[in-house]
Amino acid sequence: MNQDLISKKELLKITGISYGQLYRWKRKKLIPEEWFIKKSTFTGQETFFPKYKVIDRIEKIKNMKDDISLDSLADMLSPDLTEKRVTEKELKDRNIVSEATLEFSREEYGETNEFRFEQIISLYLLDKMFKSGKIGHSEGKIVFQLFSDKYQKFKGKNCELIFFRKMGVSSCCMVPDSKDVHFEETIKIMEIMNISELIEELKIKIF
Amino acid sequence: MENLTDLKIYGQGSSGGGKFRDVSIKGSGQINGDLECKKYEVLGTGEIKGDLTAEEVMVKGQFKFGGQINTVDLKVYGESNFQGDIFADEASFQGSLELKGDLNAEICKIEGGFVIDGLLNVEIFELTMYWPCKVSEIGGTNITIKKDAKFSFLGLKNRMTPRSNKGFLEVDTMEGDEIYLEYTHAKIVRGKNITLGPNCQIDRLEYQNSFKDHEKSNVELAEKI
Repeated sequence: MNQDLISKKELLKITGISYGQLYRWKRKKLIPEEWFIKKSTFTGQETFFPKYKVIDRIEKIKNMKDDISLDSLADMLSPDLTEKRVTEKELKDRNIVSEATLEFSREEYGETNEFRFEQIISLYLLDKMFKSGKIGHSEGKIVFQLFSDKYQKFKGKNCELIFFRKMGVSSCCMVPDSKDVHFEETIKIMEIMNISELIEELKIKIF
Repeated sequence: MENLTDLKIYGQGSSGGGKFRDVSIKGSGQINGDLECKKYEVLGTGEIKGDLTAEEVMVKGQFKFGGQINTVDLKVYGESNFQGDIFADEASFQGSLELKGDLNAEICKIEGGFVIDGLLNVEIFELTMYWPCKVSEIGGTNITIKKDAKFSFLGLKNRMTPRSNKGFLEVDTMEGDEIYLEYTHAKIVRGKNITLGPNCQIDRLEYQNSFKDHEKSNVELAEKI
């Protein structure tokens, strides 16, 4: 783990929030449990956070907390799948998924009027990957298949999808944290998608 | 709304768990799985092996919770043992509490004593201590720690529970905004406004705005940050 960490004390100083607020947000699951990293220091046990993630999250909460309640904010930020269903037209009109990806979905799902949230994530994910140009149409199918089969296992937890190639053969996998996975040299990592972040983005777009 | 039935155990009995409207155990009962209900009431003793999700939980007597508790209103009078985490809006305990996980609540009042292995994360926390208490970490907005109430129930409680002057709260880290402490032994206390009462022993204290010491308390190192 070579990510930048920030101590609780520094975090409060930088962001200007109080202990009370930090604990309240933790209680409401606005800040995920995994980000609270306990380490021993010369003053005893101290809590550290992944620096950029936590500062980014706190700024987000500070900006939005006046407009919506903490509970709905929690729904928005947590990687739990919501019950919401969206029609194909809405997805296209709101620019969430492009026409090309929707066509892809028609081949896979068949004609669908309403999409479940989980289906939307998979399409949103594919859409991003298609747009970045790093994967092709047929490779999209592998990603799609993996996601539909295995995402259930990560329900409510952080999840990252790694897409890689070796000697022209492509494959992908899903892991809780891509930093803890190491590949041999000849494998070329094309793309790492953080699903929890995607879900956050998507929830903001849909609601 | 589904049509749910009530579960009643009067005398002695057990259930596998499931989904119910109201659950009441009078006597001795055991629930062997997860339970979801509106109101959960125990008078007597019992155990639940799985998770409990209920709007209202009230226990009078002795009860062991094997899993996680999700509830709005939690009231426990007597002796309770929790193996998992507690999530409640309001939680109040009278008696002795043993908890292996974390306690998360908006308002929490405890009268009696406790041993908590995890984190006590409470917006408003009030402790009235009758026995020695121990917890590794407390975090919240308002934290008030006091040793027994002056008059409660005509002083009967004070007469019934042996007053030992040795009783104190032992905590590693405490972090909050407004903190009042009595009879507390802590390694680190951090807060905005900290007021000490008698008989505190604190290794390291960090405050933002104000700090009031007490002549009968001892703080090794106090620092304004």
